[in-house]
Amino acid sequence: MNPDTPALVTEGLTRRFGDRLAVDQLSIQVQPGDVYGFLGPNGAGKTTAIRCILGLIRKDAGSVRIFGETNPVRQRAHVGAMVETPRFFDWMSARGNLERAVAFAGVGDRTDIDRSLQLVGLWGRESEPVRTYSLGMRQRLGIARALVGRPKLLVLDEPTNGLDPRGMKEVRDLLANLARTTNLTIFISSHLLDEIEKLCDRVGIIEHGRMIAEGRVADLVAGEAGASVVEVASPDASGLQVALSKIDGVREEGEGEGGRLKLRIEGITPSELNARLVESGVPVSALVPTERNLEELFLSLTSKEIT
Amino acid sequence: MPPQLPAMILAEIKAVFGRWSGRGALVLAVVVGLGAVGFLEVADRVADNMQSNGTPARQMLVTDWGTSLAWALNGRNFFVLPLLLVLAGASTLSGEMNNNTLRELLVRPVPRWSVMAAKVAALAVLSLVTLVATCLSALVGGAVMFATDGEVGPVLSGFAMSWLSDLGLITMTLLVASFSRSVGGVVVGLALYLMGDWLFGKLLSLLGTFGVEWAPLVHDVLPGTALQAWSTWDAGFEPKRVGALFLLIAVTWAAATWRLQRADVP
Repeated sequence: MNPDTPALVTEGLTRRFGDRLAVDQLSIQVQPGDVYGFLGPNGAGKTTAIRCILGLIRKDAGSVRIFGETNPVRQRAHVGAMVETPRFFDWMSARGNLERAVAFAGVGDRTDIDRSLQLVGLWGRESEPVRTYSLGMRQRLGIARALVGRPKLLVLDEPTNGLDPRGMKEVRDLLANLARTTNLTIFISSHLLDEIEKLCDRVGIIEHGRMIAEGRVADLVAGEAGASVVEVASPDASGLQVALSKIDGVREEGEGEGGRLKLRIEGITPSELNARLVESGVPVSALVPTERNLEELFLSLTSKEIT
Repeated sequence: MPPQLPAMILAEIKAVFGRWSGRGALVLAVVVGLGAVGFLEVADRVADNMQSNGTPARQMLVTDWGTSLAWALNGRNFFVLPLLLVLAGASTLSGEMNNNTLRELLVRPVPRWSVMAAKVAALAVLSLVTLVATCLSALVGGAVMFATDGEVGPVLSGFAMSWLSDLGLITMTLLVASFSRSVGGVVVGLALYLMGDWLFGKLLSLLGTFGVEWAPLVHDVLPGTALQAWSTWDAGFEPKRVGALFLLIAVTWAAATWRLQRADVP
């Protein structure tokens, strides 16, 4: 296989439930080795898209290729997945559940099970029935199960769903460790934008089933080439507004910290902006270049609140 | 065929025997086998004091090894064990669909038909093990109580045919389960169907008495009648019923697989 073959490509992926388009012409490209964050508000279609990708539900249109494979069964040989809250046979031990997964995966053995259990920190507890496990442990066991078939692509849908802060940290540390120590391609959907920003190389943001932004996290946060965000304050607020309206490449983005005006500037540097304001006779008491983060980008692109 | 199919079947067998329905069926199978022998022994003791329609019970009762095995066969196929098989079948598909453990299998690199095949095979093994358990416990218990007098060959063929009947019940259960995510819904759905089948059979019998020639022919191939193919072990199996049973297994298995192939699994 060509090492440059994308890990996951969807083209025009569409799924409709009655009159509602849950996934609308969704195109995604994930490169091998990427940690790809798949973001969107509740109901944006993330889980439906993931289920289409995994073949759990039928797609109405479009295509999915995983490491170049178009055959759904052969595709899944490359994939380890955890869709929403992982479910187990509660009466069976963790090891028993993983053995069942290995049987259906067709690859892997006791060593793979041991390694997965060690990786997720459940070594030593593997003989206990899953019903005795906490939610965080179940989540980690779900990740262990996704790993046992020796996948090249790990698809995780909301892996921190329903966890308390300690459980979230456990899963976050585990994923960071996986990203650091393995050459797995990781496709992860989450609401935890801060964590996605730290973990992921690239993100795709969807809303109403459509991709509205996709790219490297740093590029998306920086916005269009040359654009940046500054916060400016002046004792003459009305004079500041008038002066800003006369400067090209400046767009207000609401209120910043301490009542400062947040501006998106393009084609002009912060120091040039300062100079132009002073030239206009506006006293500038503060001009602070700021960095947008993923959450701000997400909120500016999507119309819904994060829940 | 996926190379991991044998491993899948083993994994499904573990799951089937791990559930209370599977373990319960196994325990009950032994109890039924030994219970049949015990009942026959009790009947033997009270037979001298009882009559049926004026005939002394002693004249109608044969107490030997073969009869105890026949009683075990009838007891095994009476209601409770088939119900446990239905519950086991419903749990393995509807139950797993409902609690989302089926999803974990379908994200693996196996075609859905093989998942269905593994489940059918595991349930067929459960049925076989319960039949063997009933048969062995009745054979051993009967030998102890009544020595080894009486022919057991025809009854053993009844046990073998029961396995085919169970297979028909299993595939019917899985077909109903492919429409419902509730184990209770499957049991009720199947019971309603079999009740309707029985009523329709009665109607056909009635039509037969009025000289409608095709009515008995249709009656003999109804699914409910086919599932009773084992019950004629003493008089010889009816080819029509056995054929209908094979057809029932093939059609319901294929239909259940087709349903699973097309199902959206959340």
